[in-house]
Amino acid sequence: MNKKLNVSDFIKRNTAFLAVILMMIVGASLYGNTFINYKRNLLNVLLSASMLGIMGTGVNMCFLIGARDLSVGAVAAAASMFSAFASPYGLAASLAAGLVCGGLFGLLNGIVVAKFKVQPFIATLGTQLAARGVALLVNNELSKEIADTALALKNMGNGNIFGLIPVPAVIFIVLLVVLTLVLGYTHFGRSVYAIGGNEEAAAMMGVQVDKVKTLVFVLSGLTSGLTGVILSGHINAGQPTSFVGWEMTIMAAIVIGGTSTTGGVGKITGIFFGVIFLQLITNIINLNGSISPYWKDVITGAILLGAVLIQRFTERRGELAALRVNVEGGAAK
Amino acid sequence: MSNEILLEMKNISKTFPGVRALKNVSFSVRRGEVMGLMGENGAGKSTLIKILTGYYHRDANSGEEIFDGRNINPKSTLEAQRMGISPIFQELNLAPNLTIAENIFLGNAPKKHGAIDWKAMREKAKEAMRELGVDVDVSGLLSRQPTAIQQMVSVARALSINAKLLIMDEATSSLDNAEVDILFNAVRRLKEKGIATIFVTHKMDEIYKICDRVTILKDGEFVTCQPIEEMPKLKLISLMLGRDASTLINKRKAYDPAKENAEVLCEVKEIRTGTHRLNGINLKIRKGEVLGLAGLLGSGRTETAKVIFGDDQMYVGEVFMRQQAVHFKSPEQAIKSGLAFCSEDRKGEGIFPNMSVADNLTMPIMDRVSRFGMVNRRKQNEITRDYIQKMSIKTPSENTKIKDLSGGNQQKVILSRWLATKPDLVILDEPTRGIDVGAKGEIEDLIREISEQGISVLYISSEMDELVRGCDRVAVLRDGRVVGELTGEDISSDNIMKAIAMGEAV
Repeated sequence: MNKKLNVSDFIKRNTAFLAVILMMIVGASLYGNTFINYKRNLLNVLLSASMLGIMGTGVNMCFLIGARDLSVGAVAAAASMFSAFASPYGLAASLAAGLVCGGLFGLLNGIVVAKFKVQPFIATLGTQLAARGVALLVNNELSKEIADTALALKNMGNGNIFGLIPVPAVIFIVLLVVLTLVLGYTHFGRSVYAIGGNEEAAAMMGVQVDKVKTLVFVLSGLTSGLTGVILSGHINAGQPTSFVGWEMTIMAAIVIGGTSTTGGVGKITGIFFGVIFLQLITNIINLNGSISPYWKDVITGAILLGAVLIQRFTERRGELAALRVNVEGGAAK
Repeated sequence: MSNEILLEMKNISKTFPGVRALKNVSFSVRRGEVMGLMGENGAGKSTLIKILTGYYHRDANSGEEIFDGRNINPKSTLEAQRMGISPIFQELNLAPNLTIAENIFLGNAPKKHGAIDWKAMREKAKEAMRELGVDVDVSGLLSRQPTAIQQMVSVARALSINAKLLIMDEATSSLDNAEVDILFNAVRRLKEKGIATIFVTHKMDEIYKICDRVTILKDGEFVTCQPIEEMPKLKLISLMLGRDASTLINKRKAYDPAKENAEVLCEVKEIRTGTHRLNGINLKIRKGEVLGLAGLLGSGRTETAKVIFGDDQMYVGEVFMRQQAVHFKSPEQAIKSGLAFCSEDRKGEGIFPNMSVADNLTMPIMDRVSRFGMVNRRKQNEITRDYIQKMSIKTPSENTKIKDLSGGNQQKVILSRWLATKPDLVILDEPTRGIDVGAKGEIEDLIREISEQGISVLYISSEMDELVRGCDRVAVLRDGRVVGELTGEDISSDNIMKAIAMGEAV
């Protein structure tokens, strides 16, 4: 019985990783070299997964404190517009414009949630609408081309390190490493988990709950802003209608990545396999060409439900086991 | 234990809108002492504790608190903790998703080069737990540990931030005997170090096992504070309940010997639950009988009722209805079998505040007032008006929202709701709680009428006078066991208290 529990434990902890392996096998067996060819196919998968992933790291932090951030897509769209406007003044200016835009929207979310105790779902829904409005207003609903001179910005969106690894993927991985260290080895990081596990207890233990929550939302805003800047570089323009629905895809990736929907449990790295998995599905369906792309949504949905059910199932087993131990221990007296 | 005073609370009052929860209460604890704090529901124990821990603030200009030689008035629990006052809560205030070590040191973790030094933290945590007499893997998740160990973690955390006074509020309520021993051992070790503990519990035996002195509150007032040796059980109970041996007996239910031979409607055999709230309950409820369940808070009265009704599940034991073994998995099944349950938590489990009296009253009999899934308003109103008249419910109309009715009338609606299901057994859990005296009398009369119609009643109440007046038989519970049974003339407050105090299982 112990062994069985370990198997389901393993599946639960590594759902996303196993799903990625499965998709690799499916892709390879269906399309062989077309699929496996790194430079022509998988590199693009990695690139698009990285954009999702960078935005997702911030949202994943929100999940860890038990909150949602629905504003990320719209905030990134606004950030892409501002970074495009700033592009004539160099990469630093574009980055600053995008990050300040993202950071401010994040701060707004944080204050409304932490100080005024509005439910994150509602608060960030409001910000989503506002940010989308801002994105559409700044250039009269039109996209904004970036300056021809903004080579560094273009490189950030399209370049490859050693011709092998897309720059966004490098940014994504660096972000994951930094956040893993922050979550594991700083007071702030542990406070994030404590708040997700039991907010009141965290407050009792002296954690500055409001501050930590606000900071988490600011982080989420910053990663969205960064994603917006990368997009401008990638498509040579700020695009006010970009990133529609990304927040939903990202939430799916996070849950598949093993972060608990109630907060406090999960690793930030889970999202890595989560986004790659989702992009692999898209890729396989695109390669086929004759299947409707909407099958992607059906499959994603099914996997998402499966991941949540596994979480739920193993949790309940844990509870029942704990109860049984308690009872048996007591009856022995 | 020295005689030096650690905490002195003098003339503390606390007023909530409409209620005076504490009236000039004084309370003191010596260094290294274990002080028991006792009293029934509403005595003011939790209010006092909450003031001490900064959760509430005492009324302005009322009394003073001196702790460790300083005048204090903590603004928050955090501030109280920093002064050295650490509560170990009933519901643990820890993060279940983190390791034991982290729960002890979150916020003041040992650091190396600015990053958390996990190795040092684990070693310190291990040491801290060992000092409490517990050897445990501190890098395991807190949620994997039994409650007793979790409580130890709470204690270890308190000590790591220099606690001088621990407050254990019902800390043992979910522990079994072996676990309680572990906790008590730790408390004794702390005593030697001069750390004092305030121990709030309803379990009589524990008071005698661990406390040096005991303070009793009743109705928000200080009753007494004495060394435990000078406080035999019977005295303790009568002080808590505030009654002496001569209770007036008035308007008593007539004793009817025929009922002792009536057929058994419901029988309960050896019920136990997983959390040790119930440790083998045996009861028989006869047809048309009012069976009272007496006992202190936490003795298992409500739990017994909930198990019978299928709202809680038993771990072992059997329930029989009309000689047939039954095992209700949900209240729905119990209702179909002729049971009804009026919860003690009227606001939480009883009423739908924004729905009309008629909707509230006919909720469980929806299928009887509906046809093809459509509610027949006329029939619903008819039934409601019938009960409004029978039970003399004071309401402008059957369509008034129930939240606009007084507590007593709400209770009558709920009672009517269950009578409308035509039950054989009605379980009433504290049916008169929170309603005024006049309405109480009416409810008591109604209960009597119900039983005369041949319906059995299981009557749970903390008001002993009510049980004395209204029951054919009373079963006395203590620590999840039946410790006494009284019939007819033998039912008296005195005998109930004696049964609780003697406390040997029958």
